[in-house]
Amino acid sequence: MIAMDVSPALRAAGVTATGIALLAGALAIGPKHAGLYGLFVITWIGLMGLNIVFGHGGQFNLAQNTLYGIGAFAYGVLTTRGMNPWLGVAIGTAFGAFSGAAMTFVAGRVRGLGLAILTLGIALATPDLFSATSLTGGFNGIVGVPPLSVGDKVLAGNGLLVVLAALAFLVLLLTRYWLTSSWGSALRTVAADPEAAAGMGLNPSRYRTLALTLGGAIIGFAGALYGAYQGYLGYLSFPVTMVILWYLGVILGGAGTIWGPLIGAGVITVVPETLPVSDDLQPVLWGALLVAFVVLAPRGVVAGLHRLMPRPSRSLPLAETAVAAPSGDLPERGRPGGGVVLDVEAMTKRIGGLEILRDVSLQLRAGTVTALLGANGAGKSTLVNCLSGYLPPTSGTVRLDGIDITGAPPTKVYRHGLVRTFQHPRLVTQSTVFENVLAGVHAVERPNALLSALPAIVTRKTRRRQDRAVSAMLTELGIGHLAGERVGDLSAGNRQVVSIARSLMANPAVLLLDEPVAGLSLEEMRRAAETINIIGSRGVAVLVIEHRLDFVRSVAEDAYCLDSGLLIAHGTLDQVLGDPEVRKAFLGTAEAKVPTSEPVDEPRSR
Amino acid sequence: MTQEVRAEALRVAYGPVQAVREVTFAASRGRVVALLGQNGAGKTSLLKALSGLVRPKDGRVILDDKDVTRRGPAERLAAGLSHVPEGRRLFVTETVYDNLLVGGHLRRRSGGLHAKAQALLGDVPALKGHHRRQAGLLSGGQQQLVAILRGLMSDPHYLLLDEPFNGLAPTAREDVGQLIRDIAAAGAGVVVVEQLAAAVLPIADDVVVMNNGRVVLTGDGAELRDGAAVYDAYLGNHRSEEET
Repeated sequence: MIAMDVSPALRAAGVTATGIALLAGALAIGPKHAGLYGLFVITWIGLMGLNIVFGHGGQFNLAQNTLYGIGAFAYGVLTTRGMNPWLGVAIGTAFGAFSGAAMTFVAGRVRGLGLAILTLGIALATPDLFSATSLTGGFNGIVGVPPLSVGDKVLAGNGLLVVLAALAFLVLLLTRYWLTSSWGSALRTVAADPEAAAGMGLNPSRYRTLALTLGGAIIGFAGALYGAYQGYLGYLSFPVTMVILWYLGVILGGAGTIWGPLIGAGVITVVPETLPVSDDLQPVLWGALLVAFVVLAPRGVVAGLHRLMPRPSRSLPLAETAVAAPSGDLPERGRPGGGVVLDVEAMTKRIGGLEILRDVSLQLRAGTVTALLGANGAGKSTLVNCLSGYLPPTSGTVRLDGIDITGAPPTKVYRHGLVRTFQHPRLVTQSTVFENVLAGVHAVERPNALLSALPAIVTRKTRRRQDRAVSAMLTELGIGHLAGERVGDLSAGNRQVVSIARSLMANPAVLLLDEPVAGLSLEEMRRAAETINIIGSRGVAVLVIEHRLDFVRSVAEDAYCLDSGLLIAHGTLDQVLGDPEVRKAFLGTAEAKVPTSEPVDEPRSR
Repeated sequence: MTQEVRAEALRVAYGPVQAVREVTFAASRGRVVALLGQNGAGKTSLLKALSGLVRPKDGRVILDDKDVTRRGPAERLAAGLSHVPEGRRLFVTETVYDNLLVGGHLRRRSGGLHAKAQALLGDVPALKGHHRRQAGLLSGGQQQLVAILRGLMSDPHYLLLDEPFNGLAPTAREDVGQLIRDIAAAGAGVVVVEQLAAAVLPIADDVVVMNNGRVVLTGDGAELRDGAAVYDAYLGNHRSEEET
């Protein structure tokens, strides 16, 4: 990843050092602790899988013992019948992936706590399922599961540990590559705010399925290795307590980080076995340690360590080399010439018995900033929701470049080139500015998310290009120096600019900005106005919904005014603001006769 | 003793978003102050900071010469500051009468709870015959009246009303406006937050317009009655107290 708060060189050095340490450990460890070391490495692999599902993907899926067990039993059943161990591992992995995908299919739209309960059911039933079938050996389990081997030579001792460590390292490299790419950014965006993600062309359910498929594959892989390593598989090998421990590991280490699983696996496998107290006291000390961990580093050890690290300079390494042309690596979609890009005709929206919008027609021209005015409750947000696919209009049509997009879902509308922002920038606050904007590229470049999840070689070039495009965009909007900052640390003004930058990665033809300067200071407002003027000059048709009329006057040429769902004025901004009807819409009407502030005749007691 | 509730250089922020920026504002007893401004201008945040529902980042709240900045909403209510939030928030399944009793929970003077509720209800013709009805069955205007009366149950010296005219029909607005005038005439200070200025301008003694978290216009209710200056302030033409 280009921009993080630790320099890339340090990161690469960290990865190399980890690889060396793992191999050295595998070679040097004595027979007394060898068993534990192997378990630690295999658990680490499993946690890397869970980290994709839960840490990055935000799915509270508890059926991890199921995936792990399926991988292990697939290996056990097939290899005891004479299959080559490595083929068995591959099939275990495939079974894990398939089971993960199947789970998202079964769970459907269930999410959050519902998903947790649903998958808890699966997790609880898992041991009984394994004991109930003769294929998995019933209550006896499978004894004598063949170990891993190379040719005729069975792997054992330190040699086996070296192989396991190398495999785990490979999984680290692979997951790190995925998770730091635009695919990872997109996944975290979907996890943080599915609704906003849909508005940027990311289909949330597709990403959920993909995350559980990849995570399932990795967990199945770990399971197969576990089967080979233990040599025995019983129905009690995969209890629900394992799931709790795994979640503990991921959360303790740092959910949604790259290194969290390594630390977490170390804690949950090694620590309980090596506590220097008698067996009776072990659970007590272990429990106390867990409490201490969570108190000291509530967001995980990795996040805790991050805070202690020296923060390198914030500048964007690629900023200097960024191409001068705005986002020159992506095709331009703006249309100069001021032609009509978005044509809304007679849109009406009824919710219940209420008519929120009545016969609204408006047009947005390329390269022109248009303001949508109106008091609270006039229907502005409903109009934006109808245009961007969040609400289906009751009647009327929306044409984008002549194509009818009425009623299309947000992801489709986005791909047609209509992008919206939200009143409060809905960004992933834990991620950096760079990562947030990178997610914006993903939707346009890879409507089929599967492709970018394929191995490194395929997308390395794409990745460099995406990184360059993001750098160029950040530089153009004047926030290049913030690339490595966590969005959660930014001011409100800068968050808005990040949100706009993310929207622009799609090269939209139409940009709808929902109250972009709410709560900003005058200085921030001026910067936002500059940003919007840049966008307009690039040929994008911009619609700004804003209450702050001073701001509107610094960006908009044209204006429409809504009142109670009706368009009451449109024309140039000055025409609209001078319209007495508009004034009434803002101030209300004084038709109600109320007493004036002259003394009331007979003051009554209150 | 200065009989007013006052905000001094008050700042309110939600995370990185600044809602109120160093606002100084006062409302004295016996007067109706219209606090106007567009959506997001910071009116409601200022109101909440006055009544203690949000903690200001900076500045002080003075209630009758007493610094109450660190006091909670219950203490401020007991000291005579009552807040009627936006959207009325009645207990819709309870009767009108019971809704009022709830508001008397923190009455400064103990006793006389029922007498107080009856007296208040007796003064409002629009609620005649509805005292024992479920509050949720009343019209919007009647519900607003009940919400205001509930706010009066603690015998406040200052009453803060957040958008009391919102969504009301003209005749209902008339009833609410009349009640507000009556309250002020009886000696309490009333702060009325509104976006649609026309509803409240006719009954206001003083007018304060906010824009972008700052006070951009203050004036006499009678002078600003036609709304032209307020509209100008909405458009951002008044820069008197803004940074340059």
